[in-house]
Amino acid sequence: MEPALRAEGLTKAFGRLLAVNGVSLRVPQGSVHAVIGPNGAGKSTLFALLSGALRPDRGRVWLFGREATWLPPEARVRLGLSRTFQVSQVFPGLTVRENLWIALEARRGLSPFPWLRARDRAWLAERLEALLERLGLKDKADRPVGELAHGDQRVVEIGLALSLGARLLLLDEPTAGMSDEETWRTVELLRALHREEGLTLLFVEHDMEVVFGLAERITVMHLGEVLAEGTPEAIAADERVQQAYLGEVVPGYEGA
Amino acid sequence: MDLFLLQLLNGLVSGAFYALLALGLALILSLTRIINLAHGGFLVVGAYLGYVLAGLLGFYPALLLAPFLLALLGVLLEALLLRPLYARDPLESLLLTFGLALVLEEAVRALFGPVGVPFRIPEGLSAPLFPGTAFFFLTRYRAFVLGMAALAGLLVFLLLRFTALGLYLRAGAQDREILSALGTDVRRLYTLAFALGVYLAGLAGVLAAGQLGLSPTMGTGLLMPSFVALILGGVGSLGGSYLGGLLVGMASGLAGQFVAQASEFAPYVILALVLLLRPRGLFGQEGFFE
Amino acid sequence: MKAKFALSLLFLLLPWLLKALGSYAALGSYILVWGLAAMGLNLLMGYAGQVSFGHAAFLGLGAYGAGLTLKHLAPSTPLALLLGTLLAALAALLLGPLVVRLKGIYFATFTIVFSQLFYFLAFQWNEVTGGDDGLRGFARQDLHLLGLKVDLTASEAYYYFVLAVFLLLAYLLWRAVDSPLGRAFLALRENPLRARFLGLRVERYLLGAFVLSGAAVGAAGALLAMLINFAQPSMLHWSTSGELVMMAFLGGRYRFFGPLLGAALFRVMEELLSSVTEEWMLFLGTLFILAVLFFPGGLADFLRRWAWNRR
Repeated sequence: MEPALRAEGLTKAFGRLLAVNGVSLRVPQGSVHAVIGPNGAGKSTLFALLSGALRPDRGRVWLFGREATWLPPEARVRLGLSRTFQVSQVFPGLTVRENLWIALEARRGLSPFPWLRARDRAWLAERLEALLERLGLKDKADRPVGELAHGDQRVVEIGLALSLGARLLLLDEPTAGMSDEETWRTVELLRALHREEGLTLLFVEHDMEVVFGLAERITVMHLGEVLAEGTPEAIAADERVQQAYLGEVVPGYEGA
Repeated sequence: MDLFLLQLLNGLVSGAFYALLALGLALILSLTRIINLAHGGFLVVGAYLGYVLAGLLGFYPALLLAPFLLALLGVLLEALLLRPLYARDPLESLLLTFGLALVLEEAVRALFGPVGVPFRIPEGLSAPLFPGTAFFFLTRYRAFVLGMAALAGLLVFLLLRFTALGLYLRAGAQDREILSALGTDVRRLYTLAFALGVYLAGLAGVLAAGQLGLSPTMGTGLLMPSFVALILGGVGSLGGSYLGGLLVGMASGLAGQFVAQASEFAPYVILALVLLLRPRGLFGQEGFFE
Repeated sequence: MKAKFALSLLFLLLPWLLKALGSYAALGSYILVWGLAAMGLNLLMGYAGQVSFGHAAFLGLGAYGAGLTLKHLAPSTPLALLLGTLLAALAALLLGPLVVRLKGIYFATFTIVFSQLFYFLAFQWNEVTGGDDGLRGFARQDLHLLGLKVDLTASEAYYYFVLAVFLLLAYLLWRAVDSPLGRAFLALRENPLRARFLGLRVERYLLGAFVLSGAAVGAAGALLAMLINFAQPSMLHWSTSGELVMMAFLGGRYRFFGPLLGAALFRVMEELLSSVTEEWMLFLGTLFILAVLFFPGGLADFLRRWAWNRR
């Protein structure tokens, strides 16, 4: 089976700053993969290259076996990719219901049309209710997303990816700025989605508990390059990683 | 060939007005991210203010005082009308400056009438620039305008380069978030940038009054080419917008050489070319407005 | 429901109501025409979230298109309406690809610029457009429906024609808005980045919104030209674009009929105030500023809240 995501030798420079240098990655379908590293390691740039916001100077990207290096974000979405952002990118003035409805319409390719057939409407309504139930947002369905708490906005954002039927989800610091409770809730949701839908997850995180709690494999980046890659146990024990993080990684940490 | 130089000189004088306006627009835009559609309105108010003051105090004191008073008005309006909108959708501040432009122009029209008013310049400046030549009709006023515009540009440059305030303004233009993180009161900076921008508009207004006469619609005619100058110079580059103003002026002047009405048309052609070929302008930063 | 019935009655009897109030019948047509134009603009502004200060270009193109059709092509009112609309739509289609690639200040400036470009064209191209004097020498023609001849010369008669066209186009606009397409426009307004990451080709949808709104405004322009049997360059001036923006905003850009309300407000105020003072624009401008600061949802939003609170 093709990996959900494959990248070879990705390189991107901004002037004289080599933000990403020869990064390769292989994320099998249905796995959970984390990218960690100190600030300035190039993680955001890597994400931008993978999601299509930036074009690489060198290197290639494949999504589910299809070459995606030069595709814009819209096209990558159609290949099964979706992503969340550090600050949740949702439709703030619209309700939860409307947010998800739009994503469902986009998934069905209905968006260009100035009409909605009855059977499509029925399909959409059914899916919508199921999603609201799944995400635990039924009681907030008719509130504008912009008014919801940070954690709920993140859930809506993940809900958008689900509505799209995404198979690969890129998450940029999904628990940034969250309380412990919100963090736990988000992690549980991601874990459930991974388990039940077989969703492939690739995420950048600074919260090491989240990283070691979720990830099956970890890539460590430093100064634009891949420093190390492996299982959580291997990474935790890796001296180079410990050095790079200046003691942020607790020696002997056991994965959950 | 002499006619060519004449057109160039005329164009340069227009360019001086565009340069002052564009610089003011750029200052405001860089710091507050506001597209000040009311800039032309401020110019008109500044011009008429200069007219009133000139009647009371004489031309030179008016030239000195009017832009300053206008800047005070600008501070007031910024605090009252624009500050509440910084946190909101940028669309709304655009709409507000549009409404403000209307109000300023209409207020002037209400007070002074729709027909233009003549503005008398001092004897010394009405004297010919090149006496005894074929261009005896060119007055020293044109040289005066160029000189004042150059002086203003130089002073702004010195301010930005060598003062603490200038450093803050430049830093703010680059990255506002860093400044506020460092504890600077960004709002005061915004007000200052706005005041300085409006000052330049007022200066341009008084100078333009002497050259073109006063009319409530003088602002709009000067504003559009100034926007073109801003984009030509490159959004994000203060020096670029000033230079852009001079270039647009000269190009318009030269275009008028070949086709009668072309000088009015020229800025639009320039804009179309810039947008098609090099949207970030001559000195613009990439990604300023993504 | 009662409100809707009353409103329908109001619109059906408007010409006579206006005359009874001491005004003139054609004011009703003015309101509908500008209302249509503002609603067309609002497809781009309120629904897709892009402010254009250039839509007067489409108004003018529709007007001149209709006028030129009647003058040189055929004495047919429907044809004039159609060709005026198509001319505007075509211009939108040609300008669109460049416009939608621009953002922020570039977009705003460019819209002003193309409005001025067409204004300049209308002003200069004397042979075709009549230049500063405007386009004259045409008039709306009788309609030939099902063997019947309908004389549109009278203001009242033309009002019903305008009302019929308005209702048709408003219906079409509504279909566009209350559909997946309309919801895609909303996505564009709310968060273009997220729209892109839902697989929506943002530029394409913006182009669609631009062309549809241009066509609607063009239709309004055609109706306007036939209302006054005259087309003039000022219809294309960017200040006219500004009036459209103000109407849409004042009326309420988040409600479908908000801009119609704004157009009514604008034109009625113009009628009432211009007889009192020459500076009615000053008053309207101040009103506009106050609306931006305190009533960004416009009159429609204000009324809705007021009605809700009274319940």
